[in-house]
Amino acid sequence: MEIVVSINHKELLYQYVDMGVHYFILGCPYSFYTSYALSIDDIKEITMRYPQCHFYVALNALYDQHQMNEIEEFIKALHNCCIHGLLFQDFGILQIVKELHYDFDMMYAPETLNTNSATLNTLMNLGVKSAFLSRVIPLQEQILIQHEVSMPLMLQVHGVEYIAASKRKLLTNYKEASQVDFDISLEGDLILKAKDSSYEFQIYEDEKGTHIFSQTRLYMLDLYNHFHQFDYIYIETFMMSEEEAREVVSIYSDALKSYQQGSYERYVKEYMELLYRLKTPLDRGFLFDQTVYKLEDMRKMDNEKSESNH
Amino acid sequence: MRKVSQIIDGKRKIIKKPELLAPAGNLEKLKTAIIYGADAVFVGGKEFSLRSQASNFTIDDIKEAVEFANQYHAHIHVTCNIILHQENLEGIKTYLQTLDDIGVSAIIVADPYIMMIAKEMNLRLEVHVSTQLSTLNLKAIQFYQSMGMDRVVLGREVTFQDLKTIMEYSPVDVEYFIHGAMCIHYSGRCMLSNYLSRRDANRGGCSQSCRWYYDLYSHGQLVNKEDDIPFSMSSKDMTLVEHIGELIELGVDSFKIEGRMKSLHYIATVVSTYRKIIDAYCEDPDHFLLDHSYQQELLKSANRALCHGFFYENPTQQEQLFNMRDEHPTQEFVMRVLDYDEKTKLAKIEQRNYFKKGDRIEIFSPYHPHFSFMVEEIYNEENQEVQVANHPMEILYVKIDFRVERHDMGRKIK
Repeated sequence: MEIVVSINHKELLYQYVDMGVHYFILGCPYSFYTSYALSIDDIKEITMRYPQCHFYVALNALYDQHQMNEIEEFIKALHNCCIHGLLFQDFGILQIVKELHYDFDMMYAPETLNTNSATLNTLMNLGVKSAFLSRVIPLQEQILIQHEVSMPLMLQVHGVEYIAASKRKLLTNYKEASQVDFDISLEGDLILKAKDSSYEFQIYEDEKGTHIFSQTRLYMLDLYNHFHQFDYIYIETFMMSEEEAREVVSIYSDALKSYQQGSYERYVKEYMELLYRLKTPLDRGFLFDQTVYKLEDMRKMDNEKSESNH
Repeated sequence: MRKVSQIIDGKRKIIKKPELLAPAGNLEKLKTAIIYGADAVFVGGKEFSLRSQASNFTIDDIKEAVEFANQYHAHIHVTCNIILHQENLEGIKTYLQTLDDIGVSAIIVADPYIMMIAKEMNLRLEVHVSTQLSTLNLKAIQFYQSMGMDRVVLGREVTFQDLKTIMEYSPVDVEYFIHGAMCIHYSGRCMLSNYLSRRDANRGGCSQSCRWYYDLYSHGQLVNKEDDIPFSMSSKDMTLVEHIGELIELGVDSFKIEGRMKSLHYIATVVSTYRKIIDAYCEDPDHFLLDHSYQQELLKSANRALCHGFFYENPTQQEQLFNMRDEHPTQEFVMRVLDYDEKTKLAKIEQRNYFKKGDRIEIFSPYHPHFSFMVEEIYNEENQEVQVANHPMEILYVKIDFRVERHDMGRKIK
């Protein structure tokens, strides 16, 4: 089991390596979302400086036809950078890599779609070499899928959760329609709260469109006993301060070491204390919950909700 | 590049007519769509289909749909477009085999596992890649071609400029949305419903949370005050009625109308309008002029304001709905004609909404031009004269001086 960390503060890379982390996801100008877009030169420099590490580049957006030539050139440039693989969700990216006969570890990361073992085993035969499991399924199902899939799987164990993305500039459009003034960028620290709901989302806009993430951080620090068979456990540092990112990675890294040394049970409460001290909102996502979709189940859920309101 | 037109008897004609693909939430709507001119209809089955709130089709319904479609040389496509979870893996093969056996023309699929097994089973039906996969470029289309897919339904984010390139080189059939509601986020990649209402959007449970109202805070301070327009992420519906000619010239294989949960009136109106435009354009593309009445007709069935979606460019605030004032009720659909007696001039109708003597009704039809009349006489099945038609689905007789046909519909003019 390896910890994988997204790099949103380049300066922290050295410290992460020092903590024993060797797998990283790098943002680039074509990433779906990143607060740190590295250039080809940056990526080349990093991979040369840390030859013992494995670097994936996030080419994980959905790309318009007119962008595809540029993207192909970027992939060719990445091939000279000694990266380990690409995170992708657009099968156009996989097609380009297959046509170029590059030996990247192609990690399929569509945020929402990797929800069963049969599909992942199918994709393995189509050139996908590893996959990032969806967060919207319960832990029990995630573990079951891990048992039944023949390629390495990555599971997000900590950090904000992707909720939705739009190509539209939803915040700009609202500003224009309402004449209300506010900062639409990540620095605007915008929170979206549905009327009559306690759930809060973070929302921002950039040149790719609008992005929505959870306000809370998914956490699984106390669940190593459950997910220990996963090949990769992922810490999403997006939307974290430098300090929070460093602390979170440090705690999970220490927990992993103690798990491997057999002392995890003894220290898990202390690790959790350290996590609580960060005072960030924590959440279990769908780990112990599940969604409904059948009409009868939806009605049942609505009735239960309505009864509990009375 | 697809060859679209040819000179026939000195006049250019379209030889590659696109398929007009309509939605249907039940058998009545399906039959209406076909009678009003759809070349194909897509429906959801009870299993493996999105739109779980639509009244989805049983296998017997699908069988009846195929038999009905065959009479009109139309085709039935069945959506099998959920994203599978472990609990959904059983029963797919049997289901696909059944669909194939009863003569379904195509399945619309979002999960690669279903794509793969459909091809491994050597079914006769075509496999179409659902818009749930948000396919936006040729390389992705080539990937699906390598899997043996027959058609790709493009994401709604594809602009006309990108579509031109895609149509020039696409190795498989391409389906493009021309009308209907739009997801505001990338399809298949939106979890708002999952988080806000625990309903799985990728398995048909979408609660349309994007259309809700939201408070917006910046650095902890409320941005949109009570008097401000509420923040929401609701798109206007799309219509490409003005661009049908351009899309035909590109060789787009199928024009898709969205709306499996929409009304009978919507289906009849929208299908009939696009049917007329496509036929008129294909007959004489160089002299086709878009009649303004087509747009007016579509507005009669629209319950939201209409826009062009991503056709030109990234939609602006003009293409979004920021308050309910932009949603307007449709023209009231009041009757469906079941029969007509030339001698008595009485039309046997099925009541669909309240109407009364003195109301002006517009009759629209797959067979003849629209006309309107004033309701002067209404009789019930006991031949008693009534003043108002206020019982849903009641069989009534209405005096209409002009001949109407079975399947014609009437809507109240305000």
